[in-house]
Amino acid sequence: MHLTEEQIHSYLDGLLEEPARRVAKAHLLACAECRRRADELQTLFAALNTLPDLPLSRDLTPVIYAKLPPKQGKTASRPAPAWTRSLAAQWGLVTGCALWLGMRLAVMVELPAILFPTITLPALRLPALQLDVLPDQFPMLQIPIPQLPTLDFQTPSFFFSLSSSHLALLLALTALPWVMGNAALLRSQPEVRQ
Amino acid sequence: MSSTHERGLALRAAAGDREAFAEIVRAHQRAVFNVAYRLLGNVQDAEDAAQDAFLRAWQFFDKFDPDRPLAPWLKQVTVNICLNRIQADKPASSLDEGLPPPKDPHPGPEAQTVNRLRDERIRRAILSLPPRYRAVIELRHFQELRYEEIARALNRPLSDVKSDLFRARKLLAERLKDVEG
Repeated sequence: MHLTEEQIHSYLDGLLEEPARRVAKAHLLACAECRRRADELQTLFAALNTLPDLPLSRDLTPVIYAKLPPKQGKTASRPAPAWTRSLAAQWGLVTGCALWLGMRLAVMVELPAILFPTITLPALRLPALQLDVLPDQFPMLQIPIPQLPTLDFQTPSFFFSLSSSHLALLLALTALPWVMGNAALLRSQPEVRQ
Repeated sequence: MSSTHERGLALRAAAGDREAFAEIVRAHQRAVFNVAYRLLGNVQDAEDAAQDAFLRAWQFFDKFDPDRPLAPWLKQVTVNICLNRIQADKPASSLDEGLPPPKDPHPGPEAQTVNRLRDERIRRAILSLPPRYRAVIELRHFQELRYEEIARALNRPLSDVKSDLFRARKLLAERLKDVEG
């Protein structure tokens, strides 16, 4: 029984694992037909290996350089120093921890509510249009004019309380997108990603 | 070029430094051109493909891992560019005539001529293969990738890659034998 095509190719490519490689080698020593097939391939491999690289007829660098489009959002010509990455990571960690701790404390310890001062504006009283002056100035007009009601309105008072839990929640809602946004920004910078 | 220096250039190029990228082009243009030349078969097409490959590399440089060597990545980009060009509109090109002969360690007019004719015959035999056979020959014999790496580079099943490689070698061996015979 002869070696399969894959066995011969893999053997010559050096890609057979040890037990299989030994078996193939022993078979090639014993089988003239398989050895002939392997020799043909080895001649081909040798021909390909000796094919030299051609020299370039011209330097392609200036042409390629002139065609390089600018990279959007990447103006740095030097990689960012390592301390920038470290600082960013530490800052993110500290912010995250502080946020988590704040949330835990806010739930466990009910801090006194923060009261905003009440702002109460005095009620405004607008005078009604007094039409009873008209008969004095124009006596020929004997028209009974009804008395219109006066118009009152009260400005709404401004009063609400903000508990520590609400404050922590508000802080978390603000800080989380900030931290996530900065993380995404740092990840998008190749010099920082290493 | 030392690997440390190359890594530094790769980092700068990824950050948009054109001068660093120009230095990379200068260092690798010959290898990239030769990949394209083996697959396309004439100087003009190979130079165009090499330019396209470098421009593609510039475009996607931030995806490149600077801890890996640059040459294999650039060569694989080139192979894909060439395959796209072949599939798009280009029939198999013929070899250019009048190429400058490659440098021979044992110069001598007769030896040079013999070597040049032999190299040309091998190149013609490679170019006579279907494009997908050319690609696997290029990736296995000139870029020394393993079967699995070729499958990944070409985004094809491993079984197809093996089958193509074995057939390509068989065809190539027959054609070289025919020419010699």
